[in-house]
Amino acid sequence: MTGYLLLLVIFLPALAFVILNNYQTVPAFFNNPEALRQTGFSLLTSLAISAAALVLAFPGVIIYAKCPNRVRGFLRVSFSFAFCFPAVLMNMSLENEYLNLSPFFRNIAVNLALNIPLVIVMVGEYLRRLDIRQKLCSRTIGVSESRFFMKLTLPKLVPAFFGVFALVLLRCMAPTDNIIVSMLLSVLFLIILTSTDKKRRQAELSPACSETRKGNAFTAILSFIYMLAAQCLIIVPLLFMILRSVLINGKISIEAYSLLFAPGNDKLLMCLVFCFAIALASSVIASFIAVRISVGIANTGCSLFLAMIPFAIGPVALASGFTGLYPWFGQTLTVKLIFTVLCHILILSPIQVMILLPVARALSPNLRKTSVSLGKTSSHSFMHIDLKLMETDILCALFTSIAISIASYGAAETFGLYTAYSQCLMFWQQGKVAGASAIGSITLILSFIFFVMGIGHTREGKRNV
Amino acid sequence: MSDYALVCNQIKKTKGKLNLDLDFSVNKGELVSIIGPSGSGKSTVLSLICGFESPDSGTITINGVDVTALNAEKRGAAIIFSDYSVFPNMTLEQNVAYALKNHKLSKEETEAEVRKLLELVNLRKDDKRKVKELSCQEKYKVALARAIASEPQILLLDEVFSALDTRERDALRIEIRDIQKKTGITTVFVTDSQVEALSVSDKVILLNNGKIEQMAAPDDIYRRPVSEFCAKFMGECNILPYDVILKTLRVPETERSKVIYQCYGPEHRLLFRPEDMVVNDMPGLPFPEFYPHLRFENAKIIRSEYLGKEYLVTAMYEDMIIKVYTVYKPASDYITAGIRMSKILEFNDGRLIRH
Repeated sequence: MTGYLLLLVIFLPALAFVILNNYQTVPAFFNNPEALRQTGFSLLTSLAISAAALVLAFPGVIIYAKCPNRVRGFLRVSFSFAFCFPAVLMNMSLENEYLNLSPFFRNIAVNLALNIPLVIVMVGEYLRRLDIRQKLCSRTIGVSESRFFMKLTLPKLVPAFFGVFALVLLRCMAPTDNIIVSMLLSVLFLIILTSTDKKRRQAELSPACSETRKGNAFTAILSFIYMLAAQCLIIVPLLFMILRSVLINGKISIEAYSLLFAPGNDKLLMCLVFCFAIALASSVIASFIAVRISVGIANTGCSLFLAMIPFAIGPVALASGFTGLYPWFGQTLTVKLIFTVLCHILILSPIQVMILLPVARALSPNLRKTSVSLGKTSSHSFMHIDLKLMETDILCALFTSIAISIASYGAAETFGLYTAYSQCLMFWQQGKVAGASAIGSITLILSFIFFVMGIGHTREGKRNV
Repeated sequence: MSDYALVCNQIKKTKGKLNLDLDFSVNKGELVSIIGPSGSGKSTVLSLICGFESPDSGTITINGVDVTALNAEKRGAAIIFSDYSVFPNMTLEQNVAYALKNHKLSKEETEAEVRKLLELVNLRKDDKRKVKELSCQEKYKVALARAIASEPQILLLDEVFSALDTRERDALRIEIRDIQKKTGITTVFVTDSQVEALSVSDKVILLNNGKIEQMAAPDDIYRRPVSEFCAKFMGECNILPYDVILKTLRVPETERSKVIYQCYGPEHRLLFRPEDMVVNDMPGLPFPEFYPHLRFENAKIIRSEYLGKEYLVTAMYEDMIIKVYTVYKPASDYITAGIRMSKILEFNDGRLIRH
């Protein structure tokens, strides 16, 4: 309950002010055909992009589940980084003279690039944890692999696909003109996401039942090409951004970087310090909340829904809610920093819950019961058993959320803080492509370092205790 | 001070389809087994005693103290689950030390205490292995040592042998009884095996649909079951309609009047254990005569299972199925078996009426 209470104490004031400040605009929104048309179009586009991401990722899911462990480890790291890659930077990276995409198609490309790798990892991990004993059993009674896939595997994959579909939809849905309508739509997708949770848990999952299969040479080459292409979705924009930061007038130079850190130009440094401080503070508190929620979460979709709702509402909407508290607290830098941290906590806690929940669920409740029956209090048992067993996963969640927070551009910007984003945007608008790319590269590399530190703490196949 | 280590007084608990209704007590130092079909509420009873669940009504008393409202950690009821729940983040010794009640012990004293406990459960004293390196049997022993370290008033064992193979079960069955006798800890042992319940317990509680079907000493529950359910659950048995007496009774003419035939209706049945039957094992030898008895002459063998030291023969006599143990493999397709009247129990409407 502590986790939920903390989350609600932070979340409810922001939510209340979002609603109070915007509820009058709802009737006007529904009376405006143009706004409705735009929202409908935006929604349809998001649906189409999400569906396309799922379809395009499907071969990757199969390849991911069947590839050797070492390859899968590499793919997991590189693909999962899509979660930390800000859409803004991806957009900037794709806005170049070679691609020449219109904003609409760029939006599609950005969302596909950021979501296809995620779908591959999330559904792929699910697929490889489906119990293969049924498959082995089916083979012995003459059921072909394709028939087994269609009749047994695919129905089990459907809840995972629905869940990921809703998550992708949440990530790629552009906010509408009306913040309340956007919130309601997000909540709707969150309901889909959490409603599939129970079914996903009901599927027979085992800790490590991946099936490594060697196909023929042709399949192997096709798989390699596909995975390379999927890999490029994340790596190429990142490399392109780094390249643009060091390529000035056709020559390699680190001038953009030296300018950023030139004496007297301390803005970027301050931005980075802010980013890091906010990331660290919010991630540590979010970890505490997420651990409490994950361990204590009831096995119902409703409790997961409550834990995830701030994530669905999004940093910008939450930040705008916090601005409603200015009359009480003032608009000082400290207040803005605190609000930014609170906003990040609200966004990072659900992400950490997503990372920690499977681990917490894998912990046998008998461990804590046994400890209590030995005369230890619940809190002592929690500290010495649950927490110790989740130690590495908590570190993983902590570092991952620091990575996400560093690369997060929404909340701090709403409060008008100096951020990497504002600097990046300013440089971009001034036509200083190299400078903007340098800032983007620095934040992404920083983020990537923390992300790798986080993912290094996952324990492959050892989670079921 | 009460003589009872545990008293479950009119405990009622509704949990899904299960309606638990219990009233029993356990003497100090006793080992009591709880047995019953799955879903009968065995593990729920342990949860209630331990304090993980609360009864809807009734009281639970441990060593004279009403613990119904106490938290689990204050009850002094240590539990071992079927997965043993050995803490994987600790070594074998750390697991045992975790439960030591006296936290003020020095390092040396703790080590000595841990060694003593490990010795008690027949584990190596200087074992520094991690939990993942232990076998199931060793995990069980660590869990047992850890539970004893907490100096419990009651030890609860929840199907602890279910993950073990038959040989390990047999060995640990003996060991658990020895340790229980050495430590004198009152123990409640939930099991799904009749053999385990009968062999290690001072008393056996048979649960059926959340109610106590019978609570008795192992010999009583096996030999004098109060119901057909109880008789069937505790071991192989033959249940035949009462009127089989008319067809199979063998008694000297002079004593026929001593056998009173009194049928209470179609639900009036006879019950006897296969091992009490006498078989004409050796072809050519006359069937041993003993009076009065029921004799199933030339029953058609439909199945013969070899169990190692004997055969369990299932045979059809008229339209009735009878089961009988025999040392020798049946020589033909027919078998003749008899049962003394004194070994027969009578049930009416599923309840014992005569033994």
